[in-house]
Amino acid sequence: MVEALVIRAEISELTRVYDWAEALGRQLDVPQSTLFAIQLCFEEALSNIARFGFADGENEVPRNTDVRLTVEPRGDTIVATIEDHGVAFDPLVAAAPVRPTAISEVPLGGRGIHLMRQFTRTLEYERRNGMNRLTLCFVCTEQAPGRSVA
Amino acid sequence: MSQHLVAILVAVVHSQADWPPAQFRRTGRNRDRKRAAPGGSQRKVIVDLEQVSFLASMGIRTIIMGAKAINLKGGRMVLLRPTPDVEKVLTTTGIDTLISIVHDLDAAIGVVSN
Repeated sequence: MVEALVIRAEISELTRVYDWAEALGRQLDVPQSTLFAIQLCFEEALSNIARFGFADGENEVPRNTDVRLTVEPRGDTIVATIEDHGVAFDPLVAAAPVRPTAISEVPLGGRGIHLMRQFTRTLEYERRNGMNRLTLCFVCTEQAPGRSVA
Repeated sequence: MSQHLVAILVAVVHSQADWPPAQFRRTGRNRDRKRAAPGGSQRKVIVDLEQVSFLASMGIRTIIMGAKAINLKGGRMVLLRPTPDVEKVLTTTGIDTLISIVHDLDAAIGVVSN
């Protein structure tokens, strides 16, 4: 069973995504920590798509800003996908953030991809037919999920 | 539209005898992205995260902005009682190495008072 949602690549859509995931979580009886991870990763990915996915400024033709999200339970995991028509961007090649040593030097941003890596079991990317496709796998667990902190 | 309230209780601690403080301000952040950085003009700030059920990088940005402002004044900020999931976000991003996280109010007062 695959549940899908199509939104616009806009920050204002994040609430709708959060609520949709919340409802799905109840429907699928997803553990709270797993739901948290799903909502976190959705927010991080969608924020990046909304802020950077269409910022190349070179395309004067109206772009398709639809973003398609899917959620599918598979055994003891939840598999989610995020597809968008934005500029090609592979989050897997982004460098891990440098752990700050002083509050004065801490950048305000740049943590979203790292959070996605740490809160998923697996994170996969592909570019096909002009679309970015991110596939996220979450383990259904009551504990705060993801991999060990780097 | 359902609102996901992220309630941040910001307590300005002047002394241990001040708790609960006579003066504190409550900032709320909902999905409309209202944002208020804690701290203002104060130097000792406890940010109570007990009622914060969700925190992503946007929320971390707000916390960092407050911490930077407080740091410039030579003050301290401490994060109090985050939930396990919220705390994992903070530790994953290394924020816990810069801003103390405690789960006890007395400990929080002790941190900002030192």
